[in-house]
Amino acid sequence: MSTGQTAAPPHLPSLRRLATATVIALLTAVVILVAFVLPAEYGIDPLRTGRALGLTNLANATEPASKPAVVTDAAVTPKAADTTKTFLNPVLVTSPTGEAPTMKDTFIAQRGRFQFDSRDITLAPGEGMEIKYNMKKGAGLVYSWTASATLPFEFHGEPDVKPTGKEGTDYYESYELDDKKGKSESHGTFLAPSTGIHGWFWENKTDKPITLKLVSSGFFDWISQNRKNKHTALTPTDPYSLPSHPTIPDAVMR
Amino acid sequence: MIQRHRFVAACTALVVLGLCFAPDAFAHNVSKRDAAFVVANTGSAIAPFLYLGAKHMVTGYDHLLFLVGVIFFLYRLKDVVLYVSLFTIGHSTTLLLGVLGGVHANAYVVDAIIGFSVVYKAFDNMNGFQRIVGFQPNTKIAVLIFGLFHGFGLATKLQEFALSPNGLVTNILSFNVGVELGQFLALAAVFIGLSYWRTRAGFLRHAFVTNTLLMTGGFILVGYQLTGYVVAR
Repeated sequence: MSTGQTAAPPHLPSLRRLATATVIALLTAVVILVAFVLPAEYGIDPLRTGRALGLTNLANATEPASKPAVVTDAAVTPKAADTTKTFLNPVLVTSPTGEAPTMKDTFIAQRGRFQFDSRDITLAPGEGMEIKYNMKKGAGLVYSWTASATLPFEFHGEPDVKPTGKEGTDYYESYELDDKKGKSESHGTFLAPSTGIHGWFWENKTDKPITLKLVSSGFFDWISQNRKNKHTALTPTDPYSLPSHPTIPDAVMR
Repeated sequence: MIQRHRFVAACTALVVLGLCFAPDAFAHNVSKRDAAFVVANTGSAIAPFLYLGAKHMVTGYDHLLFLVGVIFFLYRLKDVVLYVSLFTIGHSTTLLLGVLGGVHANAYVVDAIIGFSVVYKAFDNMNGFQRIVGFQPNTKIAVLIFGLFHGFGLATKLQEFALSPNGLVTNILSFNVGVELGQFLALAAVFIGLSYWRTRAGFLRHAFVTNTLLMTGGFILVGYQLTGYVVAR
């Protein structure tokens, strides 16, 4: 019955030795799992070894913004280093002749074609999720989202490069936050203040499902979805793939 | 000399345990940056997918632990080639069927079964089946069947991304070939190390302990994935 493994030790282990080894393997595995792996991977820390060794930070780092949002001063104060040419600083110039005022510095060049994203989301009772777009600093975004009921949300971003001293933490910057009453819709234009992922966290705190529609156009290459603690990278729609005028009849304005 | 064997056994133990704690970038998932590429990519990209497949295999410790178990007692290169071919047939089948056929297996369950395959092979190497049931289950069939599960594991990793239908077949085949290349590289290193160790008297003496450690690694993988399955629900 030997199948190519002729060189196995000729003597069999005693049943006792075999059982002992298996039990030791199992117990060692359980200890390592409970003491180190579970705290580091999932933040499950029954023995408090993860907290003592700082392993739970690893688990927390993988689920940004799933905690209640706390806006710190650092998060809302723009940093001096950010005010480079990737920022618009529109100036209203009044006309000396009394004609309509003009706006200056409202254009920013982008690297390539914009992308389009449209999704219908159903949030189960108690469920929270994130949709974020990866954007370079200075990339623009136009968006609308509407929901079937008011829900708490936060529009925020995580820079790829965190401020000094905050590397590896759940650092993020908040752009629009309503975690009390919530809103059922929000529309905006947005210019990414940093290279990173920027988008929304919504949470359904009601006991009924909430449907949500999100449409966005902007300069991003991929979409980061965080749902049920699972991060998934999604593909946006290439706007060039959408039907154009010959197929969509022009409606004439009267 | 005894000192030296202890040293070798200790090093093996450290490597086995160390792999279990490797940080995420070194671990199982295609990393965030690679994910960005996979998603942003449209059309066929042979070399990048070859590389991703190879990288996944070289850094995928669950596949490697299983293969260490499989070739542990294979002394002849001919046997290594035979067993690895069976494993390859198994995982290529389910990788292609899984991705092209759109079969979605639960990643945690599949990875837990892969962890179990390590436990099974370690127990087999300890002559556990001969002791308990009186015979050794066919090792070729076992490696083929577990290969099928490993392939589903590879498929779930690729399915986490919305792959572009443009050049899909080319890219998956490239990924698959990359997996084989990475497997060959990793196995060559393991085989050379094992061959050297076998020339030493301590090999058989430490084989039982080493396979107990392998089994520990397998149990850790099973527990890690089953917990993930419960937590993610």
